[in-house]
Amino acid sequence: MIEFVINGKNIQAQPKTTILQAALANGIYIPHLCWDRRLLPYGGCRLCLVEVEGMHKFLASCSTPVKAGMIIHTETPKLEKARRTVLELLLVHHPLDCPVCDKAGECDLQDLAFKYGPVASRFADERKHEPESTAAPLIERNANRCILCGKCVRICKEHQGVGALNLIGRGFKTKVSPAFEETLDCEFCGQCVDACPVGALGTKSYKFRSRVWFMDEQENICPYCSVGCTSVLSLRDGQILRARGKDGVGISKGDLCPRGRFGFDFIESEHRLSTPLLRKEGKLEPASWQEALEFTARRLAEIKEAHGPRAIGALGSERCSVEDNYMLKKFMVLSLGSKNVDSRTRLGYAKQVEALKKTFGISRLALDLDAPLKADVIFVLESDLTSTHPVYGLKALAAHRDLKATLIVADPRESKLSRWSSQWLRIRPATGVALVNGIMSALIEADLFDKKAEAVKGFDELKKTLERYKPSAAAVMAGVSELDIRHAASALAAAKNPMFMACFGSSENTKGEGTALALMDLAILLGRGPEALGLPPEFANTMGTQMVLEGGETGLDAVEMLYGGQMKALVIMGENPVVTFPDTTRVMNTLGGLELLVVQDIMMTATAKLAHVVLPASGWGEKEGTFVGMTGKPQKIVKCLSEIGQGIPDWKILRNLGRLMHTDLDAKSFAGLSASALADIEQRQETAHPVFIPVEQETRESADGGHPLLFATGNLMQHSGSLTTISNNLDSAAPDAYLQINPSDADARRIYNDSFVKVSGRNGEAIYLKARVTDEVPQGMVFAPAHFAHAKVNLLTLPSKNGEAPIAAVKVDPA
Amino acid sequence: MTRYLLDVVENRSIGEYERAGGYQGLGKALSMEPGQVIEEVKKSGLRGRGGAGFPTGMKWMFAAGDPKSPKYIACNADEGEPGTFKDKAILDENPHLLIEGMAIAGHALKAELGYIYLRGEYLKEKDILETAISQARASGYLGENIMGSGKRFDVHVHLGAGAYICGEETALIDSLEGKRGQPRLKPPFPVNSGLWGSPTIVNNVETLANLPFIVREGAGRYVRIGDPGCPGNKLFPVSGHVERPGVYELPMGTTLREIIYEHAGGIKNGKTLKAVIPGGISAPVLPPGLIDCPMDFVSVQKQGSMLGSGGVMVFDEDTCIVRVAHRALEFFERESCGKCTPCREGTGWLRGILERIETRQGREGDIRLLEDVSKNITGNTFCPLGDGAAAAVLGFLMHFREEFAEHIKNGCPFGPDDLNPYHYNPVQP
Amino acid sequence: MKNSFGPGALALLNEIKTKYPTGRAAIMPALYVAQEEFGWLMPEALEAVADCLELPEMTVRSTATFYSMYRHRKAGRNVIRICTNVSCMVLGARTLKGVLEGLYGVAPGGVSPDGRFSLEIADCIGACGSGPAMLVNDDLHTGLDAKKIIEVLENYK
Repeated sequence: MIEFVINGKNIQAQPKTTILQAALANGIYIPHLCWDRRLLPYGGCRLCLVEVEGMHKFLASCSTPVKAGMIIHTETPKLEKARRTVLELLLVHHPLDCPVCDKAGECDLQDLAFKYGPVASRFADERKHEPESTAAPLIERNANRCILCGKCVRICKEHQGVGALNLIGRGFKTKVSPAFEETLDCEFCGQCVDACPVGALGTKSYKFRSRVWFMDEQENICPYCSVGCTSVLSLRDGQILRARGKDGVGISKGDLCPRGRFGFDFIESEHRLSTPLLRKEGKLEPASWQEALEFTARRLAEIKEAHGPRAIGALGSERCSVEDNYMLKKFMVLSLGSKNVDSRTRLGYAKQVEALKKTFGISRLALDLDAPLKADVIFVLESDLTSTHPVYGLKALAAHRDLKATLIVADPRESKLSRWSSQWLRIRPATGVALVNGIMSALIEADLFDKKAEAVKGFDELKKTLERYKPSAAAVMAGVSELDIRHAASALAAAKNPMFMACFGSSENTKGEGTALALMDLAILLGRGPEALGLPPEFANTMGTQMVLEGGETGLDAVEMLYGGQMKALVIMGENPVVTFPDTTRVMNTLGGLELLVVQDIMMTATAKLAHVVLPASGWGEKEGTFVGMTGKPQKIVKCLSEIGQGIPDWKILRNLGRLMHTDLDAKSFAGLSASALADIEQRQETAHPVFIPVEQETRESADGGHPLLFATGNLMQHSGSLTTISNNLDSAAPDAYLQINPSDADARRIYNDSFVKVSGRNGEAIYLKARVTDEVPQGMVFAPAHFAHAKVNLLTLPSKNGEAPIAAVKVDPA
Repeated sequence: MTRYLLDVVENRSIGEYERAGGYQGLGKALSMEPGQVIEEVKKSGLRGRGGAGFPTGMKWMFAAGDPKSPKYIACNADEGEPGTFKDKAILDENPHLLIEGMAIAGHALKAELGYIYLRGEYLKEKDILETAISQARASGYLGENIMGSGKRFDVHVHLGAGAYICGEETALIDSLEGKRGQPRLKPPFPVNSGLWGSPTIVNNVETLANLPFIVREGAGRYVRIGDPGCPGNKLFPVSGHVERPGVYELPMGTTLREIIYEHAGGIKNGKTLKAVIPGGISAPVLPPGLIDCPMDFVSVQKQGSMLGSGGVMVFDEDTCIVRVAHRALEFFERESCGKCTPCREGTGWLRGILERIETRQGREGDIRLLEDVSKNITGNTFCPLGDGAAAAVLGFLMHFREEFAEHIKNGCPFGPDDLNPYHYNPVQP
Repeated sequence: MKNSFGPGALALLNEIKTKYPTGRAAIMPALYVAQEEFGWLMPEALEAVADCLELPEMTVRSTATFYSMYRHRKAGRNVIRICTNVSCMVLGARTLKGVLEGLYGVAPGGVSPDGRFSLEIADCIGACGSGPAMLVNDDLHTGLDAKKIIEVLENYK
């Protein structure tokens, strides 16, 4: 620790801490415009100057490390004068348009001008007259207000790893500009907007909506992925006007992705349900709660009577709270006597949970968001984490870029991670198992594995399996070179603290349970435990949902319920299987054949359209609840909006149904319900005992002459499941599905960029998509995002069985 | 007096250079341990000739002490300071001197590669250098096995593209790396983290050109030349209203008076001296009363100016000082890199006020405003460019305040030198 | 319109690349090659440099716009860069600008109507000892006055 004095106060700090960091950490504010915790010091604005005794010049505190014995002053008459001059210089050209600038009231330049004066410059020069840039979605730029602090450029490049903005020109004529001064085309994460100290960058949806001082602020947990970022909402008149990340707030400490920053507006979509609906003469008609619930209770009782409780099932939701899912399970068990409760996690996250149970004998992983920063080698397997879990993915990027960790990315698709990686193993689609087996085989061959692994149960079986995956053989299967495999193996073997990252999203069909098993085997072979696994659950409450629904004994799982043909009635809460489950035709057949389909949802989904009764639920922001994200710790979500129409929280719908069916579900208050739900999931204490589970490379379908291309589906950074497609904001940034196809495959079929193509599967189904010809996908693979209902991507996908990757083979023709 | 920089070789051929003792310094250096060479340079007391006057041996010692490798030698030939054309003279007349100096530096630093960052306008010098480099390669002074020593050293020429700021060593490094030439934060200093993160010494052409003499003749002989506190010869480029403008190689510490009146032949057309800028445009102006000042780092600083590049700019009695100041600030405004606020915005502000004074739109209080803004820029900018601009303005005001006041009251007494002050047409990206 | 390098330029670029440990460091020399090849740094030229060095075109553009010797619009057949900095100014450089404007109709930053000359104001070209001075294309001309500048320029068609 280094000791020094700031403004007469004795302060200690770690070596390399800058004066500014030390001051801020000790509650001493030093004005600054170009510094950001997340970025390298820049030293451009010259406001953070301080006086250090014995130095003949002022020092820029953002870039000067503290030294023992320094005596630092942050506010002296001389400094005040220097700062006033800097502000005056900025105001020479900065327009005084605060009355129409949305930043007014929280503008750093405005605040500092008030603090130090002057309010105008002694030198009036021509102001800039650049036209505003409003053509891009979501983000608008006003170059006239720009003070050239460079934060937007640096956050985009240094932190976000994108580089969509750059400085061009020199001196006073320097400008911030996207490529060729064309319209901004980027991820639309909006980090630049939050970073801008003035009103040069703003969001479209917030423009001219409110002065900042009329709004209330409310922190809430983002409803999308499992990272659990804190989104700071600005509310006025019962409406969310914007969402921001705020420095140091929540586990994300101010980072947000496009979904967290712009996706809040789904809540006021025109597709929201406002009343219960009941099918009358084949048509869904508005009904009263009384009527709808009585109908539901009566029909459920009749079906139970006629077919027994095993004919009734329910799907919970990763979007709903722990409490909602807990009530669903209680309702099914206590009111209907059925244990058939599951969720879409079965298609995604459950694969890794099953693998975890088999290899380590545990059922959950509590992840640390910052764990990648502690790793020296990061191995990412067939996962675009910067899209699925953007803020978590950033940590892997930062570990590599700032902390020099080796980043090995095995993925057929190009992603931000592969672009930044130290080694990109561009494997064939869905061959992760072959690759990992090859790496393990190389480790054993070169005697580079951890010797403790020899004593682990299953080592001999593993070795036997790996004989078929010698690096040379695995290289052929995975479509990489043998040298690449050996290279990755030795990098991993040399690691002191390796980390294995992947995501098992329910729409990602290149991985199966086998992929998870192989990755875990690799960890064990290198002497690592579950702590080395960075496998985040998919959605905000995927882990919570899985914990609740798997808490007791289970009956039929989601795959059995939807594809097994045994169900007579289904209660579906907050899920939309018609869009989000594979093999849409079979799902439609199952749902269409039910005697009763009850759907609780916040909006009119494709599934709700098939229902006999539709019950309007309140959404995120309209109800209290708990999410359990990747950290495994419960995070409270807050009610800050009033319900829309007659919508009520899902748990209340179920409580009312229970009451009508004369069962006491013991949920008199939310607090009581929440306490027992959390007690239910928190009681488990687990210890890991590693076992090797050797796996073979298997996929559901392989390409052949008739269906020569492998059809992968997955996620975009701007969307999350199908929910975000009703966000107007996100829709403007990523409005439509498309099919990525490699130029050589496209050429061979005379397919051009933006032309429509017909994609046909072995199951006889076909869909039509716009082609996007790009080498982001390799030859032999096509990719479509799975978010868009109208694209019907899941007509071609297949539910997975066993451990195989559920990828499908397709044929693509010009439409 | 001994000349060892200029006027020593005819037609800059390698044969002539060798006959005049060329590359003997390199041969001698190669027979010494790298550490000994650094020791010799330290003993010589050589101070950097680019403007800052940092002891060269010390800089080398820091770089040599860094365990990282490879190491790089970067020659700063981005001679952009208006009024300065001394490095150009070396390149024009004696390019092998620089190459030999770089090779000596390469040996001392155990570097295998050097770059000459040449200013973009020096196209003729680029050809000269490239010819000289290939001659040196052919004669075994550069390349794989220099002078049979088993050591490797090579040099490439990197052409700048019109950015004064790239004369600042960290901006030069960024520019050489293909980036915008904006200064970097220090520390880390280039000696620890320069080109591509490797230890790098950045030395001016003239500095490197001193090395062959120092090594060949020994530091003992070198320290007897010029000023004991700052030995060696210095090149003084003289421009403006003198009879014989040009570059003069004189011992460090020669007085301004001697340079102007003896070597440069006095003021042109028999006029009288009004003002002199002693070290390139960033150096504050001096009035005739101070020209007995010896031209070395310390003495010039004592007079409130700086030796800088040694570029002596001479102005006769008919020169309008306000116009000179205005043109200087136009330059600084245009060359400011845009990174830090005081320089980016302040240079334009100062230029604007000077412009209105020169065009008879000056206001009461403008002089105090100029002073106030300049003082608040001084010391508060990211790099010395903004400081230089402010210092220049303060210098003009200190010695010619009356002339500014006169301009504000009655307009410019000198009449137009052209039609109107114009604005640059901006560089349109 | 031209949108890629010819074989000669490509050979030159490949040679340039060998001088530096990174592709990025070759940006500045590559931009000169592109300027020569394309006439000025039109978007296609920047893209060609980016492709050749395998860099984002943003990076190339950001660097290119920092330096004043790269041209970002169409130039005349001959580019005049006349120095008007202090040493040249006090010897009369600024009057020469008026000469050029009157005689050839070219103003600083512009191109003469016949496309023969474009005029740029340089900030010192290192010829202070023999000013006023100018560069026409790659040639340095010194000791200019109203008469000499016309004589010189008549050699550039």
